Amino acid sequence: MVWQLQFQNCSSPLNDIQKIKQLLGRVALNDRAAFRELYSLTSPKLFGICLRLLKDRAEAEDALQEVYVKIWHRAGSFSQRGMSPISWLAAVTRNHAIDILRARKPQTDELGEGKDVEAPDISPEKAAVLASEGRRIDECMGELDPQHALAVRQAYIEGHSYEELAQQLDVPLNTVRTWLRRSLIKLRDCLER
Amino acid sequence: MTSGTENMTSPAERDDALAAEYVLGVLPGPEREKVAIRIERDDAFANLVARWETTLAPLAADVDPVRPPEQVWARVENALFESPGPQASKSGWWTSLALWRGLAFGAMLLAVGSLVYPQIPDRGDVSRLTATLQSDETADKFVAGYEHGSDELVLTALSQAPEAGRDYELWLIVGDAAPVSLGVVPGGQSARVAVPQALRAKLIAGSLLAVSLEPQGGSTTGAPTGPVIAAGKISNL
Repeated sequence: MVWQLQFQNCSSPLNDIQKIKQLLGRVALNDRAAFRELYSLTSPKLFGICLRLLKDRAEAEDALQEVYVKIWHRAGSFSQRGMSPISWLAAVTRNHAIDILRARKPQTDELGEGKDVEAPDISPEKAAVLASEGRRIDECMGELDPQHALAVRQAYIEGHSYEELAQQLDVPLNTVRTWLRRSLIKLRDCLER
Repeated sequence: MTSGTENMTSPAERDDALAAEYVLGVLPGPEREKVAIRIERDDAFANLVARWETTLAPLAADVDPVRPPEQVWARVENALFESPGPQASKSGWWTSLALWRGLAFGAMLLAVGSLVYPQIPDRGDVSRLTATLQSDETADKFVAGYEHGSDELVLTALSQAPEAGRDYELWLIVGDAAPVSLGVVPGGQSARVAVPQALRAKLIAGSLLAVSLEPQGGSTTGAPTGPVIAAGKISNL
């Protein structure tokens, strides 16, 4: 559970969020020292996200570099839509990595080329620990059909597409789409209750 | 991919679901690109996307942090601040592929790997060219129109004029070559931009046009010195 502690230390406490917010504000003014500090504070998490999505170390390193170039140029815009700095950093990173995934030729995945990184399953034990820590999102994920909840996690964390989810679950793509959409709305309704 | 959405009732609900799918990342490439473009153009939709980013962000807690190798930071610095000189420093990030990828996605089909700068074959009978210049980081947008071989192009700025003391400058980028200036262009209106003889043959489908923010009067170095606020690939009309 070390990684969880790291995540908590890195981004959960309010003062860290404040810190990252301030750093982003300074980066928007081209403050390189702030950028370096932001990098050392946030790059392990963002690199982890790239690795899980791309499953290829070299590609993940390239992606991380590109993500920080984006962060440098866009730091001033992060608060435009009222997002927290953490959500914004995760969004920039995931969107970039998923763009790369979707631009890949589809057979790359099927051939299993370049899979340097294991994709750990989320075991029931792990899920139980997560839930017992009282994380709201896990409670709400627990209210979904377990298969649907797993699909949501696999899409968000592993970058699975509708096509891949449909193949895994052996159901038509539009069926996956229909229940995934419903699950997401249900998830948010629960989170906002 | 439409039949699965028929039972969603209102357009607002469909938009919200589409925003969720974009954030989750499940859409196929072409559909994802369309949504990316819509995020640029449709502020209300962009807000839906931001809301979903916030909603789903806690899922990232399940990702283990991994310390990246030292050289990644060096590469970031190199890409952004290559040379110590204040003016030369911008050429590094301008030419970096990373920047172009960042600007390109959605607006241009600049894909990774073998798809970089796809050469769109020119059809002999097609002589009218167009480009939509935008970026995923600013709301600035320009539309360019050009008659192949002619001595000027028409650039319509859908952006406000730049702040006092700054100017927009238009650049042409062919393949991996360094950007070539087409001069300072106004904001908030249409303008005819002279195209020097030597550049006319290079204004073809597949090349890029970009607008950067420069000191008043334009860059004095021959290369862009300020941020690129919009870019777009030229295509046949």
